[in-house]
Amino acid sequence: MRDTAVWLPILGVLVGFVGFCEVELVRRPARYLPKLVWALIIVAQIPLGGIAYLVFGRGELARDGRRDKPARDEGRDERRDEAARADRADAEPPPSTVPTADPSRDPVVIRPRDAAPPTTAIRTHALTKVFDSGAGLHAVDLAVPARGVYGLVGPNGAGKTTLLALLAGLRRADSGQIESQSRILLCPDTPAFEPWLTAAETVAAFTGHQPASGVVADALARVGLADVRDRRVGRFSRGMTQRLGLALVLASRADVLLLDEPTSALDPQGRSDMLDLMVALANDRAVIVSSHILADVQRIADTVGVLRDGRLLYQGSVSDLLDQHTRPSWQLHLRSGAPALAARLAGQPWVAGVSQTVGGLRVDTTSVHAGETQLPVEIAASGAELIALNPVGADLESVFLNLVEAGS
Amino acid sequence: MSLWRVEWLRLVRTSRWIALVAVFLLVGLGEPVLTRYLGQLLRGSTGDTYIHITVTSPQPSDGLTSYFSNITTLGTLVVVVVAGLAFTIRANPPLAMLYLTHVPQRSRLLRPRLVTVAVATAVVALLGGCAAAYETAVLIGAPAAGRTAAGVAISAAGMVFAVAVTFLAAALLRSQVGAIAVALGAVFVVVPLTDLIPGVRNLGPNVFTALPVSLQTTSWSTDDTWSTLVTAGLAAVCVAAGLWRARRWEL
Repeated sequence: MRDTAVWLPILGVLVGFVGFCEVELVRRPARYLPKLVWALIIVAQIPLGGIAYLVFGRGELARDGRRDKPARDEGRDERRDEAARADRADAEPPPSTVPTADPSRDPVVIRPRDAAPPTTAIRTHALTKVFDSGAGLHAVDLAVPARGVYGLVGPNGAGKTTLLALLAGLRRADSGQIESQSRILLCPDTPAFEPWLTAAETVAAFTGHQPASGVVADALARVGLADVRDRRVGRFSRGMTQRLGLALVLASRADVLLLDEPTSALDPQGRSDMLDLMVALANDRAVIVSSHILADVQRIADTVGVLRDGRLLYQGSVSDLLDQHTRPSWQLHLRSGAPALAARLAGQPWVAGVSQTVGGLRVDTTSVHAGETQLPVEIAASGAELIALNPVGADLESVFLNLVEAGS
Repeated sequence: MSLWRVEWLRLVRTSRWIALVAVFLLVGLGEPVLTRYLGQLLRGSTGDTYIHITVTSPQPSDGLTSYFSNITTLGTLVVVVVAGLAFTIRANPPLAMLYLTHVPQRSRLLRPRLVTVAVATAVVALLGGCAAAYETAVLIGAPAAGRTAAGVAISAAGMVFAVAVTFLAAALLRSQVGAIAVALGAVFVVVPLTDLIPGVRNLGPNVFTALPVSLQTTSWSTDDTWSTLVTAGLAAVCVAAGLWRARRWEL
């Protein structure tokens, strides 16, 4: 009896601990070492082997108990994400490829939007942050309207991420001021979450809601993660992780959202729907989007800020930027008479340039009005046979390149 | 869902609680057994031909002394690792970005982590002490209740001191390995080195962490009171300095 009382607790704890570790080793993926090696370590070094396994070697497992590859082996780009989703298709329903399109919530028209209210959500005065390398931000005066999408564009190293970090309070400025009464949230380009929390718990933990609340369910549904709300985040692909970041943003009550490259890991359809979502979010708050995809920025942004080498080269509405930094241009499709018309136009004071194109001419004018009124007159006077006359739309990318080149 | 719940889930779902419980329970249950059968083990390993080993009969205090001696090193090692993993928020910058922007007040973010780890550590230290007392009572004889209770409580407090030191190290350093290494260095190297300083050699945390052992054979002294106060003060300073440093974190 005396011996039993002595040895039984020790034996029970030892066997229980080693058994638990070995069962976990069978159920879960192992990190750093092969499973067989971990199994030997657990048995050979009781209890330190088991402790080492639990602390360092135990991989994440989906909540449904399905074994999978370690998280670090998962898709590093969207193509791999898609392949992984396809592989999983027979095992479980994949998350919707695109966020839920709810016509009652998401606007159909992207731009133009109603004029933004005059109040500003964030205003900076001579905001400066200089790193040892000399890079950083130099006297940036930012004015972000309280509603609408503010597109922040600039080449690599322009200071976009630094500016977002300063606005979010993750860095301290060397000098200058940030004026804001708003609650600001930052969603990085590749957000990371606790791998042992489920999607619903993740959203709930950072927004103050309960995992089962309607707000959390709605946010996950809008980004297409409703089907995997109870799956642990450690098993998510990069695209799903980015969606989860936006779900957090959706469920939050922030007045200003800072989104750093929010669509970089999404497929084209998902990107398009996510842009719609951002516009919907911007109806009642400020959304600052940093992106390299200028077509996206042009599509959704009301205001744009162009950064280069830490300096704000331009800040204002997208339409003003296009108007100020591009000349009106017209594409003429002609059946005949192109050379004569080109010679005639070259002498006109309102014509900024004429160039021959396949099947016609491209004409730059000094103003939209001149092109609309004078161009048809000259075409008729020259005797050229006109098939079509189309204005050529200016795009943000060419303006951006012009601005950046001029700045350098 | 509150951050307190998140920290609870961190402890449970990462199985760190099992690592903590396993160490303290196994050492608590195993050390009295080793103490009781030390003579037989030595005789079995050396034989009686040339070397004659005489081992006195173990006393109840020996079982607990053995436990406290070992748990001070092995237990502290595991506690520092578990605490270091929980406190080094900035080791994963994207995750840190999430925490620091969604929970603007750093103290509100760190308090649940600190308290959860400290309480878990104290609880498993008490559990290990109780296991050691149980085994000692069954195997060797009933230990003195007062000294045992004081030793277990002080052992738990010593673990909480290690948690506080790790908290400061994690506030100063970004990397998990760096923070854990610095905390271990502080606890196992710097603190014992204070014994070399005249005037404070009997007043520092080194004396406090050795109290569970010394109390089994000696009585409480004025120096013990001072070392307790100094250790408590240092732990508070570590926490306060860690929070102060955390308010200045940049990513």
